[in-house]
Amino acid sequence: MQYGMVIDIKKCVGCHACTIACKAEWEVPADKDRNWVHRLGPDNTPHGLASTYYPGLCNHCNEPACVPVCPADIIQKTFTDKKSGKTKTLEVAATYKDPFNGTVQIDKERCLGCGACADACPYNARYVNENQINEELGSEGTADKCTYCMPRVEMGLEPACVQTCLARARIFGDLDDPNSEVSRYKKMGAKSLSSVNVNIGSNGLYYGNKRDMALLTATSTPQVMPEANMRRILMAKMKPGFNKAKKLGMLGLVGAVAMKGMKEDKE
Amino acid sequence: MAFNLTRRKFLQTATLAAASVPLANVVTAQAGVAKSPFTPSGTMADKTMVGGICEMCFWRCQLVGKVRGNKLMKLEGNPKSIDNGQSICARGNAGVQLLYDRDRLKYPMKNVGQRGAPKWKRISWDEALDTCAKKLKATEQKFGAKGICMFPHGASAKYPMQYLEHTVGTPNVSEASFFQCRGIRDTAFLATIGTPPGENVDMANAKVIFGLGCHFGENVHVSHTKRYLKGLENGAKLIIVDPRFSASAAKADEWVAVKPGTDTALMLGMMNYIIQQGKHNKAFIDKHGIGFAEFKESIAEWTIEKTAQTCDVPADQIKRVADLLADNAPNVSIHPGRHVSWHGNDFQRQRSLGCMMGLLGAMGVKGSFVKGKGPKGVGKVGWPKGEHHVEAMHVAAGIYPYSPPGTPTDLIRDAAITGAPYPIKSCVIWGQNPIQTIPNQQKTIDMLKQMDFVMCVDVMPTDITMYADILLPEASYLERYDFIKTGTQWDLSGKQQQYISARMPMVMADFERKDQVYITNEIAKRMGYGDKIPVSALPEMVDMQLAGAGLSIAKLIAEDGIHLQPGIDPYGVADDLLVYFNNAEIADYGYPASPTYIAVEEVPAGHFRLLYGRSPVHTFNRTQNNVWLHHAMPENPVWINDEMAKELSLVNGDRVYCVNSEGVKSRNTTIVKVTPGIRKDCVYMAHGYGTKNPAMSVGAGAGIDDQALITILAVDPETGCHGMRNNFVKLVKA
Amino acid sequence: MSATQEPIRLAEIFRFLAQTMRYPESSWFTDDFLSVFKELLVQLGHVPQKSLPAKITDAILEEIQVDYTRLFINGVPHVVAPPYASIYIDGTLNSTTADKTREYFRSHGFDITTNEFPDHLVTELDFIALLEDEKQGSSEEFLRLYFRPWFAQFRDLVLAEAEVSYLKTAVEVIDFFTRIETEADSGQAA
Ligand code: SF4
Ligand code: SF4
Ligand code: SF4
Repeated sequence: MQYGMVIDIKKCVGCHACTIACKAEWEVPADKDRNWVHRLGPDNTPHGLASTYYPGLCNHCNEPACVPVCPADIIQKTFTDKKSGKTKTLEVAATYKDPFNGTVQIDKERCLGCGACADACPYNARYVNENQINEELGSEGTADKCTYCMPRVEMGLEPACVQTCLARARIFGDLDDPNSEVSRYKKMGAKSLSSVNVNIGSNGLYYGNKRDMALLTATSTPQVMPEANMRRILMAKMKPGFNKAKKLGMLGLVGAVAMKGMKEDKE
Repeated sequence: MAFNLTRRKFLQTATLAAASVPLANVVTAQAGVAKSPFTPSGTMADKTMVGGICEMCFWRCQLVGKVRGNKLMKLEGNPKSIDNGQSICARGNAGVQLLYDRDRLKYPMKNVGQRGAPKWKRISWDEALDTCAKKLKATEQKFGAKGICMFPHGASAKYPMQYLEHTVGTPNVSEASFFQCRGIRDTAFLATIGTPPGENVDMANAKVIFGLGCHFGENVHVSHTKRYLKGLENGAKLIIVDPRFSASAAKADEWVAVKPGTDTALMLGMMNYIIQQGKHNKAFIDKHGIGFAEFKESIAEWTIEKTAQTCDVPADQIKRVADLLADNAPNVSIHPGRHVSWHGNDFQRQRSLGCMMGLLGAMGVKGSFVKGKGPKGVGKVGWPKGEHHVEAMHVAAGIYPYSPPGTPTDLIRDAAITGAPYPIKSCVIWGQNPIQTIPNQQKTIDMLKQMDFVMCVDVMPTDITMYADILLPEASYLERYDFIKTGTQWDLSGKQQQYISARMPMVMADFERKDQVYITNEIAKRMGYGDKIPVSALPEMVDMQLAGAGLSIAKLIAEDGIHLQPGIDPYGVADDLLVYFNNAEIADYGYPASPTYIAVEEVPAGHFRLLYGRSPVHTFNRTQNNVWLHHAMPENPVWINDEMAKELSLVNGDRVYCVNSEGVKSRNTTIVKVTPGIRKDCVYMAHGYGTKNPAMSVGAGAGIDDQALITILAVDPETGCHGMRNNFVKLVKA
Repeated sequence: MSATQEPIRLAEIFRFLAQTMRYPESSWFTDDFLSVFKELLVQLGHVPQKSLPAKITDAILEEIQVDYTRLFINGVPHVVAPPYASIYIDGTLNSTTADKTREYFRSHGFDITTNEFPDHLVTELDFIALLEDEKQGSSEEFLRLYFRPWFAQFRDLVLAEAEVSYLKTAVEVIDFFTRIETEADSGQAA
């Protein structure tokens, strides 16, 4: 099973309801976003004048750039398939891809708030909530992003953004199920915002007419993997050292240093 | 100051023996009152309150509230709704942040400073109500009821408005929703098809949707937008007439980039062409039309060539659009518009839209102008009419014969400022922000400055509240009972159903916020009208109204907030429907009997016509302080044509001021949006930004307040409503 | 009636400090109250400034009320220092921080009884007083995790913007009593 979301920009009217519903549902700080709507155009495209929207969110990618860079402790985590009850145990850091539903999730209890994952995402889908510090870990905050509303979905509800969308422009479902609405859209040509350099199996797909798609892909497809990525991967490799630091009770110190390094990086 | 000791030391040595009384004696108030990482739990499991009715805009979608403890966490569409369903728009979702807005009014306050430069002091309700009643009474006694004027807005203003209009008896009430918005539409359609149209076009089942300035998507009302989108999904052709490539134009089959102000000419040209082609609906016109021959003759001058030239639209396109309409008639939605107070020639334009409906016979059939048949029986509760009826100024003077209810705004302002025909000395402002709704802000300020008394009731410290002597904090739409909302299923062709719902509180009002019935009744008692009070509390009023339909608050709650019942097929044309193509009564008043184009002033050299419109995250100027909405679109970029921008060396993202042709400069700056999607003769910005009241700590300084730049007054002669698109600006780099 | 000679209990002080931050009204903002306030300052080694009123008159009360309204309720240019933790931590009123604060109250067997938000300065001080009532020193955790993270910002705003010195002084006294004292602090003067 691989959850995915199609956004039909032919229908989307750019009303931003999805963004705000998500904020309310998940107590996202006012100045941060789990999802967003960018207003594009009016601009000329090869197919004529166009104006459309980029409603974006985490794409729960097949090869997520954010997962391998997480420097948090590796633990054994047992996943359960909600349908069959099957279980699977994997070694994961604080962020991982769920082997059963294909979503990418964050373990809030263990997140160090270092922001490595947020830096690594080419879609800019993550943020660090600096107000949510984990005292025990001495963290700098907690990373957060779209969860595809798994807690809602597990209760049989639609994701909050899907439910509120008056245009029914957001379609959520299982891309592995050939009969699902999302698969039908995929067959009709819904495509992800991927480029030569950024091709990590995004499960967020967009569908629209030629001119709108031209404007959307030209303005909103990431062209390069984030630079900080290399540094984070390096950080990730230092994980054993990190663990030792934690045992010695030095984590707060290391975290602070890491944050500083990251900020310098950006300049 | 630093205290030169530690707390431990202090506790060891200190004694308060020297004080006049022990410490504990001066503490009089009763005291009011597992750390783990934060994992938001979502609102699915929270308690659900039913019966919410949104009022982030006037569309009033039906809500449920997710409440945790005593805090509202989230609003959602009521799953039982057959109107908005589970959907609500961005503003609806952001209602939570209005409720908990840090700048919201909390307590009654008295201005101990100046009007316009207030110094607030929190006072008790008793003191506040005593003052309001005393001052209003003084005006009433000295100048008569007409010495009091009122600027109301929203569901909560209805009750106090009736009190002042009916019982106290002042005609000087001016609603922005009429005089700066839709009043012209309503009276023009009344004079054309005999009914105010609302937005009742069956777009979901139309073959063609025609919108004049309609920018659905930027302008969002849930069930309305659903109809529009359903129509598009079903293959309706979309025609959007707009100088700008709006959200709707972007989805349109035909974008008609009309020259601003010439829309009436476009309508007349198209109608003339349709008649010339013999494509008008002769049977319908024969049966229902009045004055068609005169009308036909009157618009004969509007050849395609003349129209093309006047409107700066290609002749081919005019024909194409007219053919599209005629060939798909009668299943055509001619949208009547909503905010139509544009140029001071608006009554005639709105008439022309009504005539187009008649010409195509696009009334009563699928996809055309159709009013849903809602439930009957909901009762009315109101203040009784007093003995003395004072004629409104325009009635007495025999002007503005097609004025919407109330008194045209400028008559009130002028009377207040000049004292003629009589003085107006007390002003009650309830939920409206006249500073940002009425053009020429200085005039509004002058009016307020000369008042003996100004009181405001609102939820937020809007611009106008800076001019209040007494400022009262109101319970918001999420904290009170009131509005009864009735209607039908959103898709008129769906299973016929009717609904009745009433607003119920999602949470109780915090601090000392009070509702309109409490405030009005308390003032009425103190003004000597206690015996006229129709209800003692809001829930009682709602129950009385619902009783007419055999319902009550308790019953509605048991039905999850919405009562559903079988509906009635809305389609069909009444035999007695009349369409006044030519209306002789209008000529009796001295205005054109057939729709007539009246040219507007040309754009002066070096300027652009200032156009404004809606942003999907704001309702008028009421939502600009909402943190969630603000973050979604923090300012209102000014759109400028790419070729003009090149001439002015402006690039995307440049910061600019706007300066109008009368030299008024915007208080704030905004960014430039360079686009091929707007005509060269105009610039555009979303309305509802740049409040001048710094008490709105989120919205103040963010974006440009277009209303501040609208200083040239255009008044529509038939209605007395303001036209607000006759102002011209330059962009000046900041 | 003569004042007590017994050592002052911290709980009482917090209760008093909560009182200082309520909207000043003639029912309690009296000469007696002021006398206690001034004596507290004396005991803190501080001679009350002349700018603190000698006697409460209507005019003085109004001046303080106006400043209080401007600082904490609604003001021009805008409310200066909303006395709510959420504003400083989350940027919005009555948000996550307010919920967590209330949770903390509840986990200690308390709950709010007014229609104020749980993270209001007065509510928090009341709560601290209640904790101190139960056991001296038991408010440490609350102070560290909930109170100080926002109070310092609030204090700076009030000190910079308040016009009447009573409010400034009150905030400074609160600052003194809620500061987290380290070992180093206990040894010497600040
Ligand atoms: S809620 Fe739907 S229509 Fe509105 S912006 Fe989001 S995706 Fe588009
Ligand atoms: S799926 Fe849920 S978490 Fe993700 S963007 Fe939509 S509302 Fe937010
Ligand atoms: S359209 Fe939006 S703001 Fe208007 S009533 Fe509906 S949800 Fe509320």
